[in-house]
Amino acid sequence: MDTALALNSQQIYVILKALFLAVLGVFVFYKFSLLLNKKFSIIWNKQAGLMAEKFTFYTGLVLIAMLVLHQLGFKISALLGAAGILGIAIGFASQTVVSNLISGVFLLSEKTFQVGDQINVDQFKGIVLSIDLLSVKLRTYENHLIRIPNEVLLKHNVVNVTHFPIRRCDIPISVGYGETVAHVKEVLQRIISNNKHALQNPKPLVVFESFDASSLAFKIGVWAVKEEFMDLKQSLMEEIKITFEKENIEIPYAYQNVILKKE
Amino acid sequence: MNDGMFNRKDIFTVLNHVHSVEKECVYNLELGSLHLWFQFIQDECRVAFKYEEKDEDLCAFNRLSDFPSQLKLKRYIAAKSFNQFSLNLVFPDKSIVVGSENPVSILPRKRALFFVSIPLFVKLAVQDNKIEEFSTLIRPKTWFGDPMSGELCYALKTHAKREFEEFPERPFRAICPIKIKNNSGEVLNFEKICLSPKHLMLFQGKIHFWGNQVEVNYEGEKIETSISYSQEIPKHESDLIKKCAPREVATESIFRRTFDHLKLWV
Repeated sequence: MDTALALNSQQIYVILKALFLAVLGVFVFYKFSLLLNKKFSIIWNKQAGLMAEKFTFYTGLVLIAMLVLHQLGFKISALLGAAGILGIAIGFASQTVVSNLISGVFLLSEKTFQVGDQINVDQFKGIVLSIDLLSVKLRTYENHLIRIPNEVLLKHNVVNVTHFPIRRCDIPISVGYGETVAHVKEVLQRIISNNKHALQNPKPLVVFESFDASSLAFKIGVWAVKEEFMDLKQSLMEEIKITFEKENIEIPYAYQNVILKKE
Repeated sequence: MNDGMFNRKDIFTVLNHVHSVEKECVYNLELGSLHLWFQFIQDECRVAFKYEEKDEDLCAFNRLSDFPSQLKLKRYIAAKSFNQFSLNLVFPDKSIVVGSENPVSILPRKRALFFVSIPLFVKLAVQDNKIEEFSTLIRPKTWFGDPMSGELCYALKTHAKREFEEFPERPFRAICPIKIKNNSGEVLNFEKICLSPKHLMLFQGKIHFWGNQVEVNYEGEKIETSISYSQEIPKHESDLIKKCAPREVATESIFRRTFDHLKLWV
């Protein structure tokens, strides 16, 4: 009975020690990974910080697990051997994971986008929430979460619409054939110069583009800082409609005349 | 403090002074294109403003019983009730792009002095706490530099001039002298100047407001250009009084690598 009790005390001590190591280890690695995130974010960028944090934390967890198992009396060398065989088996079975992992490294090194950027991939458009080891998470404008595997991002064209500080807003405009080109251009220039979101430089474009089937096609290209892009677009569209009505400039629309003949 | 239309002298009894708050009274400042209304109710300050580009000479201070209708009010809440307020003129918060009347070329080892008239901001403050800053003129925005790495600035309608007397007397504009020295062996060409007013001090004279002199030393296309801000009172007008410290103190010369073709960063 005494021996059994003594053994139990010994076991309890070992278990408590292992538990303490596990808790302390997780806490230390958690704090250390957060610190690395902060430092890497300052030195490089947010996603480098996130990657450093996750890599450090998960590596730490593996190390702590091995340490705890060692404390509990497991033979680590035998476990590592088994893990090696298991690793090969898992490696064959997880080619996609490895492909995504390597794609993630390339994505990071290319720095095509970072957390907070607005990107278009395939049919998806949204704001980058996180760049992880296996995937990139986007928040769409409809507030959906989309997970795109890194491999897909590497294979498809990615458009980063907020990479540069300013953007050009192109708006096609059609007017009737009865309008004077110079008058339309003058009105469009006036609308642009009165818009509070439009930048004076780079100079806005007002171009007479083509003779279409039932209209004269113009295009304006106006620059704004990326944060005001949507405000610029909306205000220009509204102002064009209002001013064209005031100036009696016709915005043509498709219609058909049906002529009924009485025999 | 008087009400109604002000001449230039009178407006200085309103601007850059501390005033006691009159309860329930709606104050109205009209300066340049800015129409500003504000009211203090206990621990709350209500502010409304609009811009009208009609009369740049507009200069008035009134007391009203209520805000004009259809104005969007902004409310600022403080822990204590407001007893005093001030309206101070300050330099703008962003860089300013000003063109020269014609493209300018400064010959090797020659210097030139230019004057730029900068529209000031009005800072509404209570007990040294800023509530909001308002531009006295409508501020068209522009981009200075290339579309990948330039700077967002305000665009000025006026040009840099060689004689400051050409600028009309305005109680909401400050003249900043810019001395450009071409120390290189090549001709320096430019048609636009980008001036950062964050290091400028504001001085008040009898005729104009002034900023301290900026000195630009151009050493060549591939060498950094040094920019220094004089700590002395400008000498173009006598009896100047310092009214405002710079937003950011320039401790030593600032170096700009970019001396873009036809664009001068100051």
